[in-house]
Amino acid sequence: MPTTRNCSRWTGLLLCSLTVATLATHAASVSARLPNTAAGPATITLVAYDSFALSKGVLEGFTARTGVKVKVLTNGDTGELVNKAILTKDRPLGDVLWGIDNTFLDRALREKIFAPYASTNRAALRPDLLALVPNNIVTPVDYGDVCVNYDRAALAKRGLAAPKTMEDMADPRYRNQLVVENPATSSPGLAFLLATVAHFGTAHWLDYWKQLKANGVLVVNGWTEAYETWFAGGGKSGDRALVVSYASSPPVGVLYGADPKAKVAPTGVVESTCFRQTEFAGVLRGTTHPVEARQLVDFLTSDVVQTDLQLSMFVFPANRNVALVKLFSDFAARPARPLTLSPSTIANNRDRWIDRWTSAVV
Amino acid sequence: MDRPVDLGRRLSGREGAGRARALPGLTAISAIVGATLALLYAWPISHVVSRSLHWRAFAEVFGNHRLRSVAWFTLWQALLSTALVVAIALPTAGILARYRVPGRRLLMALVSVPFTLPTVVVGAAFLALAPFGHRQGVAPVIAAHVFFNVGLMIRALTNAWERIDPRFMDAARTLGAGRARAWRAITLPLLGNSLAATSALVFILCFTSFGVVVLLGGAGRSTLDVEIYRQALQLLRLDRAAAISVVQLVAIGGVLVLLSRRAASAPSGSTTALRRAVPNSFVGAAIIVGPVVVVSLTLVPLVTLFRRSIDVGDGRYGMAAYRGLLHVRQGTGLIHSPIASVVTSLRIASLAAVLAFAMGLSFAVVVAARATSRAARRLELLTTLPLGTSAVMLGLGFLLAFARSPVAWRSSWFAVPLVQAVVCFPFVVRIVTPALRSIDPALRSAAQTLGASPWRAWRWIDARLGAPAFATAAATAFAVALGEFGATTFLARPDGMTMPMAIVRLSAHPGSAVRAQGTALAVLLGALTMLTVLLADRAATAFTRS
Repeated sequence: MPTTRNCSRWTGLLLCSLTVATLATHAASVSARLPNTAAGPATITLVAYDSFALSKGVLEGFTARTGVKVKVLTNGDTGELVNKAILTKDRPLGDVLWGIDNTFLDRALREKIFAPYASTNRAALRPDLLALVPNNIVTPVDYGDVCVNYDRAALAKRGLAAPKTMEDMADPRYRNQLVVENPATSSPGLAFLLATVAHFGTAHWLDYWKQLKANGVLVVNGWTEAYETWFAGGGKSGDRALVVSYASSPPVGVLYGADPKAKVAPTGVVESTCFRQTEFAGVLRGTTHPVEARQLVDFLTSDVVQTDLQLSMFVFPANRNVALVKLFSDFAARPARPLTLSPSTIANNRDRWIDRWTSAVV
Repeated sequence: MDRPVDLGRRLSGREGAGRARALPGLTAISAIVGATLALLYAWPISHVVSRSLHWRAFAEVFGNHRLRSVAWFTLWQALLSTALVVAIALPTAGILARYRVPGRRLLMALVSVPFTLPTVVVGAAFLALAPFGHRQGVAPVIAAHVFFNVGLMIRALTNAWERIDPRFMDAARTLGAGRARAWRAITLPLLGNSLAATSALVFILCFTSFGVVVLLGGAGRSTLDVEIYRQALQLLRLDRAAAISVVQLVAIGGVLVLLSRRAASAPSGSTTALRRAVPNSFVGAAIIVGPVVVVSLTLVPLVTLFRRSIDVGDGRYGMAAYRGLLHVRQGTGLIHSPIASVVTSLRIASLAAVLAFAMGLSFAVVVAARATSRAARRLELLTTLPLGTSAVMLGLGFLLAFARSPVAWRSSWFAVPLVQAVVCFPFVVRIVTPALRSIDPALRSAAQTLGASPWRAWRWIDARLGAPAFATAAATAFAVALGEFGATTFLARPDGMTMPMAIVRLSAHPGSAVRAQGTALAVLLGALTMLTVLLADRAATAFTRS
């Protein structure tokens, strides 16, 4: 090997170009991404699911009050959000997480991704929601019910009355009327599966699904397709009279419907089929801004956010001192006794149930 | 123009055997490349494998009804897609190879457009094609797979067909064989090699399809790759995801082994491009119309995609969807405006392309320099491994391997360019290695005789003659990185979303205005990719001329 000088020049050139390219990109992106530790107003990051939305100016109100800026980082649907939070728990992507629900709570508790905090608004929050959380690990922020919805016009056209019970859906009169979401891919789909377990018990729920299948239930991937494509009350194309959706869907239908001043919503809710979904927010363990993160959790349970979330995300406030907006009090269903399952029951059985459901129904 | 060649021939003739001195420092380069590949490929994959070596993981995969049906669907849709591709491509290639079809060059150029496009662009095109609500399911997936691969097959078969001397057929016909029999006895066996290789490639591409199935699969229709993603990120069952990956890797490995046996046994023909005039008859009309129809059909989804992106409803057209890309919109899952994903993609893809090119070139230099040794052959075989590994598996491997310090990289910004570089690396090797191999070593030895050091000679000779291939390789790496979706989706930070990810998010949105933005972004990504390919072509031509 006579000319090692040239060899080192070659590898040197290679390494140099790599280093330069890497550093250039690094510099460009790091400046945008490092949390600011310097003086000046702190910025904290709120990690949330994709459909997270508050009205313009709401989070700016928090900044005006505390001097702390909030950056929202959306990260997939609820399941993906929680799983990515678990996978990045050594280096969390943010300071506060919004949107973990009762079906995923147990997983997060086991993986210890949250730092416990008792919100100063705790006394105002609904006790039934607080009871789901041990040791204030997270704080309930909203709830909603997943229920079978019906379209009044489509039922009238077929000379049918609105169904009243779970069992009605398996009745041949409602043959080929119901469209549901796949629980393996959709959160309302999973909630409705859990509703059938809660109603029929672990021994018989699958028999009910076999009856539904025999009665022509249609399974689609997600809520959008179910509601907007197949449900008569959703879009132009659908003709099915029954769909798994939310208790807050009728007010949304009024708000965006043909007649915003309607006295009766064009769609209704079968209240006995409702399954409660509760969502929580919590301080992520490993945050570099624990004080500000706690302030944000308090803000998220305060009047401002709790009022705004009703029409920005179509969910009900966890804070019982907050009045319902008129659209909700007029049109939304509020089942007195929604179906529920404990977070640990859900956590221990969810995958098995989904597998058994898939084998039996799809 | 060809002075170095003449010079080399003259000098090497004068010098006799004329062997170039070996490039010094190859060992050091091999070591660096080897270490990089070990860290970025072997280490992540070994994590997946070791994670799956768990008696319950495999038992769960094979015992699970859903996973069995996913595996079955993955297999039959890939077989059916491949069969359809062959059925369409075989007659088309026959016509293009045997007859002087007017507009032949244009047809050949157009037919390869779909294959250069990213999978999510193809998926978005088929979403645009069908009415909302009827656009997901088995049929769209298979249609997209056929669309995606038919050009590749037509090109490969036409090339092979042109090498078959038509006089063989004539001889067989003269000896009394019918048209069909002569075709079976002569053409098919001679096409066999290329047909088998390309079919296997198409099969693997359909078998590991991710982006297309994510967009078009619909309820309950997922392939093994989609299932790996679902088990890992939606259910957080990393053991199961790892076990599925290993099952898939074994299946692909099997196909590659079968293929390598077949390839070793098949003969190769010589080039004779003798094309006949199209007969002036009904058959002649069919011969002209057939390829035109096939090529037009492959363009329909793309035209529809573009039309949908400028469709503002009520039969009017406008740029509303493109303007919408400039604004942040809550509820879409995008933190920045969709146009920010273009910047992110360009930045990440350039870095990935630089890394992949550096790795691939170094690797090719080592392999080409030791062309004769068995170790080099084995090394080259090794690069088919990343090609056969699905990007999703690699993403999962990164997720598992780079979890703890000192390599806690999975949530850092450079995880994505690194994983994309590994995905692009085999493309660079496959383009650059043959180019370097084809350079006569006598040329370099001639330069060395004139006093150049081995590396200087390499720069003068190999680097210059290889320049067209280098340009093609770098551009291919960039284009592949731009469209990479499977591995990226495992590792991208929510504030570092690439174009393919943004397209998938926007396309799944309930609002039709937002979905239109998805099509607009898909048009941009498709245009960027085609521009890259075009520029590379130009650059390669320019280098060849100088």
